[in-house]
Amino acid sequence: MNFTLKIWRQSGPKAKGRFETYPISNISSDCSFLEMLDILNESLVAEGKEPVCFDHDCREGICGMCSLYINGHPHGPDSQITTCQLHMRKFKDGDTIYIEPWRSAAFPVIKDLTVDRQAFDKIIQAGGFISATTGGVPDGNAIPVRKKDADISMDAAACIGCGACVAACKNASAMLFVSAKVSHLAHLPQGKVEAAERVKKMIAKMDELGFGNCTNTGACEAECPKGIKILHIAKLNREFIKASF
Amino acid sequence: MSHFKKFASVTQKITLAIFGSFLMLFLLVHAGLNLCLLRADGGEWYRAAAHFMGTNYIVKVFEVVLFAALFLHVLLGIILQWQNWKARPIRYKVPNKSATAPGSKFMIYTGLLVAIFLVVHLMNFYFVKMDWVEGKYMVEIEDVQKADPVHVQEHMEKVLELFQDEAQADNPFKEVATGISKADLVEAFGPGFSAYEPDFYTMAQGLFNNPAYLVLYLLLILALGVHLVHAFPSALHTLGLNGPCYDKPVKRIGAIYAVVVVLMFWAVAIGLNLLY
Repeated sequence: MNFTLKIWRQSGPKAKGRFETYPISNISSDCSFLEMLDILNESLVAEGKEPVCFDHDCREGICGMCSLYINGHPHGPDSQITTCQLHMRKFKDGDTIYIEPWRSAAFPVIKDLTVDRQAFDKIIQAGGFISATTGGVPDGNAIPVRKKDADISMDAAACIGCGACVAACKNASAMLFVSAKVSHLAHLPQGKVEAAERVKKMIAKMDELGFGNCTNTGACEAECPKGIKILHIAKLNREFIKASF
Repeated sequence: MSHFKKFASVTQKITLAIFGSFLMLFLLVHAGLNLCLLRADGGEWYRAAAHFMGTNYIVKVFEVVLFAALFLHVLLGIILQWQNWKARPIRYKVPNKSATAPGSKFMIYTGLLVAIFLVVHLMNFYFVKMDWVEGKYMVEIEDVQKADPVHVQEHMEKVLELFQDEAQADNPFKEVATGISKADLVEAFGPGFSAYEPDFYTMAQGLFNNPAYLVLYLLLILALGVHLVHAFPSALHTLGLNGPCYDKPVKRIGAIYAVVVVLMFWAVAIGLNLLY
């Protein structure tokens, strides 16, 4: 398969970026999107040019490291997958593919398509944990958890923190991410102890870092590689209201 | 602006949703009262409803609450939108193609259209009540005695002309003189006369029989409808009143609510144009 790639190139955080056009040919339809970029980079290196910088790690769809805003979709046009799980058969031969970095004031571009997603770590550090004293391991069945709550909590815990929700949101809001973390812990007895403090601190940090506000459009839910529902945002709002009293 | 930034984003959103919900309730009341315009009684019910809404003290309190809610809803909407635009300083080259809830991406724009509509609407009706803009007025026959008797005596011919009822031969005088212009009002009852009320029925009739105004009205009400399709489920979502069992019904009720409100306003506008 042959494609025309329009890739955002930016040499550093402060540099002015621009789109560069790269024709690429003889790509197998079974090639993954990142492998296609590897092939491009090999040819760029062979030509003595600077390769395209992009994030990746496990390439199994579980680490949340890969990103890329491809033709108007974070993680590309397929649903519930990360970019590393996207295959070139999802495109038509001869397609022009625009590849952009996540765009958000809170995710500054480091180089080319790589963005700094430490903002998410800072939100987690603000309250996305439970405090536990050290000591013996408690018995797994000592604290009963309702099956329904355990299921919802597990669904929320599936969040890999890739930032596709922020990238998809017209407001660059991090509400789906924050709500998944808050909802995950708020549904469990262990998390209920610090629930009020957690939700207030995480929202305060999210606001401070310059993420936008949620307008319930649902773009995040549509693009989330883990299929996290915006109903967790309703839960987040509920937790926030509860925390105010 | 900076003062509002001290509130958490979710607090601002919840406040926006509460005021928005109040406005949604108001729309139902307003659309319901408008339906009186369609009754073939020469505006009797509608004038009675307008009189009640203009004079009842509980309604007057709610009028203040309504304007406060509207103002804060608009103000918070603009502040939140401004923060949202700031959150993505560099836009994407390819516009976002993610699936989104209907109308949800254009709330600020449909809101702007509704704001334009409100300016026109308030100038046509509310400002007349406040005596800032001239409109049409009505006077009840028993209120004629509140006017300066000497003036009325001198201009009896004009007064009789206003109350003339050509339709009924046996009782040639109407109980209420309607559709009076400001100039006629002063001429017949003198400059100090204040026992008159705005005649919203005649004003509405005049406006909706103007095709250009009718088309503008229908289009702007449609923009309101698009705003409402997202407003209802979004407000409940922001207030935390949503869950796996409620999600679909809430969206469906929101769509039904928007369609009903638009159809109620449209029915009155089109009905008044065609029937009266």
